[in-house]
Amino acid sequence: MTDPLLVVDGLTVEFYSGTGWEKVVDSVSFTVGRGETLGLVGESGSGKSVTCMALTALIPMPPGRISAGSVRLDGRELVGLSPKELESVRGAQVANIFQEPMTSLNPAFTVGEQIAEMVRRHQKIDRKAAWARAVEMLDRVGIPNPARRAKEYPHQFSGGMRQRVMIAMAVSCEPKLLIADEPTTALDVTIQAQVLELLKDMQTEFGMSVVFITHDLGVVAQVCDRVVVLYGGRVMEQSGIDDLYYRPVHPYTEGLLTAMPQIGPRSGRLASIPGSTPVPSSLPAGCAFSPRCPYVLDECRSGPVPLTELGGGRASRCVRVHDLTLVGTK
Amino acid sequence: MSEPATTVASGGDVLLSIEDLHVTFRRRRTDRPVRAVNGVSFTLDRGETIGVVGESGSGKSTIARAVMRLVPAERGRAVLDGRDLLTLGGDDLRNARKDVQMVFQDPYSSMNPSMVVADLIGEPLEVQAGITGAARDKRVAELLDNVGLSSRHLQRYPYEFSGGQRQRIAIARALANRPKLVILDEAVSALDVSTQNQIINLLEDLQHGTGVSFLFIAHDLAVVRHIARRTVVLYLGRVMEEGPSERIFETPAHPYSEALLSAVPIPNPAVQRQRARVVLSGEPPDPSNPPPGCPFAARCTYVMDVCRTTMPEPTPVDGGGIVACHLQTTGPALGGRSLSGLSVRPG
Repeated sequence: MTDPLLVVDGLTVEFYSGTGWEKVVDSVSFTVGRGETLGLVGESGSGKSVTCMALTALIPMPPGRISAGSVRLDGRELVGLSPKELESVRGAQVANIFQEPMTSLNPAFTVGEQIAEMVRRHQKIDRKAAWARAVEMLDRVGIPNPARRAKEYPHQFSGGMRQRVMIAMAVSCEPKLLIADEPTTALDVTIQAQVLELLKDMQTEFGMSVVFITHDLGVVAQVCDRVVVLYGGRVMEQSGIDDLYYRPVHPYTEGLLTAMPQIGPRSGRLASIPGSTPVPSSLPAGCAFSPRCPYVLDECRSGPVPLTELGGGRASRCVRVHDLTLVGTK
Repeated sequence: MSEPATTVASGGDVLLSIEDLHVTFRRRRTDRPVRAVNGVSFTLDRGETIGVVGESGSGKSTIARAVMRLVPAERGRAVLDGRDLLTLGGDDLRNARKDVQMVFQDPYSSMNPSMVVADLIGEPLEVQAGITGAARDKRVAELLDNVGLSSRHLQRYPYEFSGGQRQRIAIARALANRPKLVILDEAVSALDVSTQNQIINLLEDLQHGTGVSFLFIAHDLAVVRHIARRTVVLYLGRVMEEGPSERIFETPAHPYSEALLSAVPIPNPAVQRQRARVVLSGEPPDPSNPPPGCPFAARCTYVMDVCRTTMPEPTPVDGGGIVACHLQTTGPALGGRSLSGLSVRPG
């Protein structure tokens, strides 16, 4: 991949817990190509949301801090920018959508006003033109009667329509990068299918790159080109979409894939990964996954495990990467 | 219309029979009524799990709440072992409550944060069964063991546990007085997939050990396919289709079931790319202003004129269960066959 849009290198985020700094995101590196959709996958506490919030310094500081690493968007370093500089990046070049649109929308303003405000903030246009742009955007994300709906408040929209409003707002300034943090998790499956299709359309139309955060490997299979699997704040595996499902190179990925319940014929007991996800304060010394790993060796527990580059953009943080044959989706 | 719908001959020993259940909400007397549950009937056998699926607003949780008497039913019956739970009062209701327990999505909000586990699980033993002292402690320890926790957890508070462990505590508490029926309302939806599977396996083990029946409400179809022998598909407070899970998931007879299944993302990129999908347009209608006829008509790919005027009656399906769809009787007249029997797709 030549000239990626986003280069994240060694990003480390810590939070102060009262007794000391805890690493919630530990030396995470990845790139996002132009027009590409990168999936960030992991269970709760894996650090996937914090990673993405940190890209545009959206984590609360304090208690959080970006203690190391760099985030370059189109060659420009974002870590260490002043609040004012960040404001010109957020929304204009990088836009976020979240799981619960109601917490991102202001209940006291109409959706049209909120989209127009966003447009006016980043573009030199007058009120009327901004309003027209808001209506146009609502129309493009498939909201019926956009001119009338623009004058309505967030509570007058259904969950799926609210997420459409968020998408309209996010793409209104034609950002280069869209960060979507579990954008369809709270939606019903039929509405999820609509929103995923809309996101794909918007991506094609505006040529955006997308970072898609989710715990749902079904959604990943549908929308992502490449995937970074996070666990305990560290990258466990990085692979192209087909490699990840059919030829996983990390035991945690294998565990996640085998645990996905299938719609097909019922097959005995469900596979599960024993134990539960770690919290930052009790991460083991070696590999974060070692206490739950079926292939664990003594050396997994003794010290930090490096990320092994496997060529073709693949990587695995596993000491046994060359001697394990893992099972993927059939 | 108020005739109880014909339900599948379950062949087994019926524990719970829900008959023509209606639940209607009104915010104010002058408001339009919201018919959250509109003539729902199905049965659940002893030792069996039935899955109830549907999108938000389909009435799945309201059915559970009506059976639990947490919301009043407008009419209908919920007969558990010969007694109609909806008409019981006083001591009879209190006694019946021992037989029906519920586990919610978020165990943290259904547990008193200032009570330790020993009391959280011990309280229903004392209140409902009068078991106290050493007998109580013994039973609590046994219950904890059954759900994969141990007596060292007895003196801990809910906040000291992970989400999965908390759900185990909620299950132990629900099972404390050996209920006949446990209603699980999105009980695994908030859990990570590996934890979710641990809980599902636990539920299956507990069912084998105790013969308890589960009414399993979930929006995750793959999970329901796994745990439930039979499935009820709801839409806007009505049963669209009901029957053996295998039949519904392999050969759905209702266009809504078909669309719902087709919308589930499959964790397999190659399958996902090749898959023909029915992406439904629009959203479910406003329950306070439902359209005449079939509630699904506006989003249905097979819609016919009759669908917009008349609600279809439930008819039997080959392979078991019932379906409420005009395709079965008028139009192409499937007469009990699944949708895959349609050679031409109308609409």
